Amino acid sequence: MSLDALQGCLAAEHAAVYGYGVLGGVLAGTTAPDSADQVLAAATYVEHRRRRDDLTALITSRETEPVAADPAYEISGKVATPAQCRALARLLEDRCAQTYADAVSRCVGSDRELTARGLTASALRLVSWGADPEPFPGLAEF
Amino acid sequence: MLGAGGLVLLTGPVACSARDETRADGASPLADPSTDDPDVALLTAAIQQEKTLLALAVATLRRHGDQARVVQPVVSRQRAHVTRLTASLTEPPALRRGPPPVVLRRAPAALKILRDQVSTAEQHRLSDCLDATSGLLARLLASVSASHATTVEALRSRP
Repeated sequence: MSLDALQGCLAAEHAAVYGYGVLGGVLAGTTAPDSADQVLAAATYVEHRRRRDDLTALITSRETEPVAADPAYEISGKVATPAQCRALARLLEDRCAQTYADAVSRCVGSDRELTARGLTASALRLVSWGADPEPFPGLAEF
Repeated sequence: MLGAGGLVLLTGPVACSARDETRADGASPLADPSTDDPDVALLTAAIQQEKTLLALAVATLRRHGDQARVVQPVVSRQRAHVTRLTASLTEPPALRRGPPPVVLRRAPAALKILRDQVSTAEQHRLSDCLDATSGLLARLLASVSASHATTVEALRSRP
């Protein structure tokens, strides 16, 4: 059960890496190189890549094939302005938060800790991208 | 789903841990009457701590009304945490009444104390999450912990 949950987290990280690649490209063309949005996007991209690689290594270490990234992901809505980039970033983080929260319920031990920390990281990034702090990040039912 | 053993199973659009799964006979494992359920004790202690934190946030807001823009959302989230956690028990927990919170006269110092207490709660809820037997309770506690983390950042970056 834990492995399925971790594979879900890995799939979410694949999507996030793709999404940040897209919005990073848009920001590069629409904002100054050292703008707050570009700095945040670059740091977040690195963070999602690190989590993707860590999850890939963890799943592989359990003699299981890690889920592969899709060739491309459908992005709903237009992403052409910094505001639209921030909205996409919030969407990506919200989906990651929900995926990690789901995984927390299905994991135990060190896997549960890893996924709980992933939830916290996404909740913090959501706020960094302009969302208001929520009482229950990652829980869609509230 | 209701559990008669002291915990209400928290519903969500997720698969459940082995302990949360409904048995073939339709009963929830948490429906076994058991006042010894470790999750009940864990949750009761968590509610006590969250209520204490709520009292501190409310007292800070009362004393430093000029900080309402920062502190009112903390109070609102904290109230939501207490309400949701309490709703996870089938009966109201027996909580001890603590002393009234002390709020310092200077706003920056008062807010730092509030931030430190929220940070401590963040760590405690994460620890509770790891200790919880119920996967769905763990999920709720992880979310509360994550919420506290965002509050710490909000209080740290206040203007």
